[in-house]
Amino acid sequence: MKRKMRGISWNWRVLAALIILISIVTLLPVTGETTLVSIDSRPVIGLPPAIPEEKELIPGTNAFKQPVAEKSLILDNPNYVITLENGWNVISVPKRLLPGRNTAIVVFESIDTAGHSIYQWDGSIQMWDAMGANDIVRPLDGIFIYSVGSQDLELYFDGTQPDPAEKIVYNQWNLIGFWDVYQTCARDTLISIDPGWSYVIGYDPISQGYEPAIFNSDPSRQELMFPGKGYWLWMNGGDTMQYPKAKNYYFGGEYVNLYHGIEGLSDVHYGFENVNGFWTGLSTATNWYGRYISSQPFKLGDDNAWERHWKEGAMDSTYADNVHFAYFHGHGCEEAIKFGTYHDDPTLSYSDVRWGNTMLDWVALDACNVLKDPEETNLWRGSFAGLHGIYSFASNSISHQNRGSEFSYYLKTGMTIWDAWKEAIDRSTPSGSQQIAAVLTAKDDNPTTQDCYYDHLYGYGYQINPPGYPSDFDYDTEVITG
Amino acid sequence: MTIMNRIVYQISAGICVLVVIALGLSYINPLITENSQPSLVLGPGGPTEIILNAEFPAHPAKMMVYTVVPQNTREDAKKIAKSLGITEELKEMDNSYFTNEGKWTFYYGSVSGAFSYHWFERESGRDPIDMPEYLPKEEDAVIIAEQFLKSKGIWEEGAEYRRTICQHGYTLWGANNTKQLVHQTMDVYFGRVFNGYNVAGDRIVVSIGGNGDVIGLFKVWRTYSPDKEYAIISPEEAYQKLIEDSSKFPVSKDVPVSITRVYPGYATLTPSESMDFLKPVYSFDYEAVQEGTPVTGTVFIPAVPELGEA
Repeated sequence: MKRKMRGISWNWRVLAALIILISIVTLLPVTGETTLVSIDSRPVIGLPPAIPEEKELIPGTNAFKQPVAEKSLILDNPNYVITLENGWNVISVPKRLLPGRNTAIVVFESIDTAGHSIYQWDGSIQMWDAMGANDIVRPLDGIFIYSVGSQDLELYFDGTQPDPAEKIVYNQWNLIGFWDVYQTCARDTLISIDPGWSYVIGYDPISQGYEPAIFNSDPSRQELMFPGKGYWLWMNGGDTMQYPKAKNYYFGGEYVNLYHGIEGLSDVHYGFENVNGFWTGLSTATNWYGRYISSQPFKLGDDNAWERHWKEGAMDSTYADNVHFAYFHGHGCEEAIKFGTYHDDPTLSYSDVRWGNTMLDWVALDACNVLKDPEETNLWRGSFAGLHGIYSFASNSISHQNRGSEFSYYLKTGMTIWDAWKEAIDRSTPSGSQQIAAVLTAKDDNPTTQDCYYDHLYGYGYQINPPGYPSDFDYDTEVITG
Repeated sequence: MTIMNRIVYQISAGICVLVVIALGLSYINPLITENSQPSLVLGPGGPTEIILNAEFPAHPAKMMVYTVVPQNTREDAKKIAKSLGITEELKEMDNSYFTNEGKWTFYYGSVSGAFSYHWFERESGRDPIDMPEYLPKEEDAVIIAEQFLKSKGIWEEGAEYRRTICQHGYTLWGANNTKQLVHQTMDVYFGRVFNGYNVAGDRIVVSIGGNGDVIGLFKVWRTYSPDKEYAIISPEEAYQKLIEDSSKFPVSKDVPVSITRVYPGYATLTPSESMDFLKPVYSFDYEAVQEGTPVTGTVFIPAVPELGEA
């Protein structure tokens, strides 16, 4: 019986393989211009569909078989420019385009495609679809476009930002665009279609080949996706990509004033004032909300502040890693922050944490010496699993009751987070004292983009999403004397 | 079961119950030790030894207490912004004023009138001009800072140069585990002398980048009006109070602290706090070495007990 079952299973496997092979072969012919491999060593279900072959190509024409038009004179600067490389490019527009400048003929009229059509993919029937001249160029749609040489594609956004963007995605292949003008890791980009998405594949127009696939599992899904690019998406079932005009963000924190003599640590002042000040201040920030856990605000203190709330594999995904911005106030040292109860280990070591693999983007550790110097700071590198930055001290930290509220205030003015941290410490350092503010932020390996060093609070400026497990960092110190 | 066996059984059971209770209590209750005074330092705080390496100064019998003259209005903010060349309209949030729309950002705090002024791309950036080779010498930086303040009408009578501090930015490269200096600027710090006494906390800090460009400014400089003279305690009495509250020192536990200077003066609250009065204090300059790092600073003991300990 078992042998018979194995036989049936084997037959099914052969049949499935044949179906996939036939579907790939019969979908469309492969052009000689496009490389369809370069996917990393992990298994993928199938290769992306090949681009349709075109025989009647006319040099010097655009995708609509018209002579390439001169760029029309527009006095305003474009909102976004996509540089097309020679050969095939897979692009998308990051925002809705201005009415009157959003049809294919207007957007692409000055692009010499040598007569190649511009292609999109209809996921509902798993077929290519050549764009018509009057088709609207929409965000979230991936676009295959050929370019003769390097050319700039200038985009003008619809400043009114009317509605949330949506795109229905179907079982198997979809060609999607990237929403917004800032890079984001795949986990966050595709959160609205999680867990249905299986992997995405970008295209490198310089090498004319596909990039390694990004899979929906850690650490792969922490890899970045970029604005202006289009991606092949493999879905297990249908869903709808949704990008609301406004997204909600969450904050919370914990403090320890009472140490009960644990490890010889003295009690400290102002924990509640700082965490509560941070909480109250951010409560008035647009689209920011305090996190409630089991109907209790994540604003816990003293014996209710536990190491496990911040520890990977314990409960961090419910607490610290379940907010975008977290604040801790208490004792610290180069290797750890300290809690005041033996409910858990009172020492949360750098090796205990992997922040950002659920939600956490920024953490303020209002504690002594956590970022004392670059060598020591290397210890905290492994805690970045999607985290953008740690804001802390490279010296003893002198507690002050207004630091949390000052920090949240300056975050809301549109300062960078690092500037807001410095400003808060400038204004809360007791007279006659000196302390060293410090920051550790993730860098990506793309020299053309900003880094998390320049992050602003969501809604109050731009921010850059880092790769999940960065190897490079920015590290600054600022000596502040009161 | 014999009586003896029963007794042994009951004793054993009792011991087991006690062990269970003890284990339970040890799990529930954290280790309690005698509680020390709460520390302001978010590391193991409180020195164990204070070493006096200074003479007690001659001191006046009385010192003036001043009232703080409020100047934290929108008009004050606009006036300062204008003198700094800010042309953008100031935004208001929670009774404070700011603009971040131009090349220069400006933030004016309502509580103390403290303001900061930054060339964002330079002070908060990674401009390659802001590196050691392009920074002025310290003495030149002081001249640049003073000239800038005077040219903008920001300079104050009683401002006194104290020190220059370098601020650093690095990139940490993971591939070869190295750090690279990518940003360095200088902060020129001016303190305040008021009617012959130092006023700790009031300050002007000018940030200077490459080419000697002024790239930032922070100023808190309250206005004071004489209120009433009060008799002050002796420096010996102040020192005794200091010994009784050694948690004032922002150094880690077991780090000896050396008092290097004792003098009467004034100390302000932080720029984030409102003040009604400027009160006399005894200032104790100290030095310590914590984990190989020199730590210096000043702690204060109120000199007029009848005005409270804060």
